[in-house]
Amino acid sequence: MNVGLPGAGIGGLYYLICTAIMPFKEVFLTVTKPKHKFRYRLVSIQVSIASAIVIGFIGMYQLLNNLIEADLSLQTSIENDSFLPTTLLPIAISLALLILILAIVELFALVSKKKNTVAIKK
Amino acid sequence: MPNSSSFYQSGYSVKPNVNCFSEKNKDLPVAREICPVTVIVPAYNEAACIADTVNSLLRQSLAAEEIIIIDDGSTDNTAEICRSLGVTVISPPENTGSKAGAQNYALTDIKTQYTLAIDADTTLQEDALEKLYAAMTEPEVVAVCGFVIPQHVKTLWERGRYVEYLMAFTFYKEIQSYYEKPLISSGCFSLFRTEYLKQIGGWSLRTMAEDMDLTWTAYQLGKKVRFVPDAICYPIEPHNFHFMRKQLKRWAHGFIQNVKLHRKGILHVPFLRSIVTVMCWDASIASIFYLTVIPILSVVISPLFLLGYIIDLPMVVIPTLVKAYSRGETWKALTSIPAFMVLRVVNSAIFLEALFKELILKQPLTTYEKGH
Repeated sequence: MNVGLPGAGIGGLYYLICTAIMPFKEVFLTVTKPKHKFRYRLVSIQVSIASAIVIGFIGMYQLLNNLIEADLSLQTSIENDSFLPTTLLPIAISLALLILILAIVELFALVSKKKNTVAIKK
Repeated sequence: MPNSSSFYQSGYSVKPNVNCFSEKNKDLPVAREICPVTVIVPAYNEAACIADTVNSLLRQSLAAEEIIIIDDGSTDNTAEICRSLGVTVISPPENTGSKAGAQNYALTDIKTQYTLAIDADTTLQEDALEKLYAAMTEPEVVAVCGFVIPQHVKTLWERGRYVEYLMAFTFYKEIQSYYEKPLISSGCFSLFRTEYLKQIGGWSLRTMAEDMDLTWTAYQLGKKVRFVPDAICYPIEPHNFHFMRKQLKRWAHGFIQNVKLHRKGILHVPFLRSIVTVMCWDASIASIFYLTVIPILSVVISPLFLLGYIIDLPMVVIPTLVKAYSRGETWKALTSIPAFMVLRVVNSAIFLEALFKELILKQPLTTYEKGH
């Protein structure tokens, strides 16, 4: 069940970051918990997918830039192209936004009191 | 995760199945083992597909103790088909009005340790139950779900859903699972600890996404949910816009209703609070941006802003192709990606409509409508 825009937005960025953390978390768990076995298969597959996505983004970025450069008539039609999807600025903004949103949620979690809110009412 | 051969060693209650074959199912394997699972299948006018569902249950490598079809007031011959296949059929006094209602009707009489809930239009891979069962390793694990792949991939909407599932279950759900918080134990195919279901009063009727409600409730109670990617189920997905709209509407309203209901509780569940927040942002703000800001910018400033619609293609294409390649379905997946882009636009528009109705107009969706 996916709602809204699966694949797009800051969600994708969030999952990429989560994947980047996985190997470090595995190392930490392996070192600190004697019974923990490093989940090589799961981590390597997910890290490979995430790496391929990042490489795909870089390739996409290059491809679109080349297409834009080739089409001079389009390029000259705008004065400030820094907000175009093919520049790094939207990615930087998305990252900053993601960090801000997550920080706000963590702050809320920190200051709000834990209540039993799971009473079932049918 | 124990495999089937280690069931006995790991203390699972598995015994030889001697009584589960009806005369009409002589082609079933003869040396199956039986596990303490009752399968419940809510059905309303499912004559077209219920036989496939029941047969796939009867062919499981690990047999369930009982298969119960809840015939929820069908006007077709759903019940007769099921009886002819040798499974138990029960009928509420009147139509319960929802899948959850039908499931709850059956739940009260379930005596087995585990309950498998599957939709009437969903078939299972032969070892799906065995794999879910094997993941019930700790007492804290109350629900286990599997990988979902559409049974039919022909129409635009089925193709869009096919890509969506391949992408989400290969990448997003695996990561959620790694951090021990799968967002949902899918309503179409999940194994539950019966005791937990009874403890929380069964499937709740208070939202349109009872599976999400059940999952988030579990986390707040300190329970665990597992995702087993090798346990595969094949539901029939909406084949046209009419039914897809109904399903997406139910999902969108269900998500918003669950966020409203659980917002305080999930704030204290690490990782879940992050994925729900990010999902809320993407489904609302990003949808507005996607549907209005990008087209406006492309008209007012430059058509190059339309690139925003395809800039995230690697995020969609790569996980999809990874799974599709392993299934030998690369071409099918590649040709289905445009359908996903269409489905995504429709999904975001329906979500915004649901958001407006739930939060601004205060008109919550309360009527359950079948997705096909």
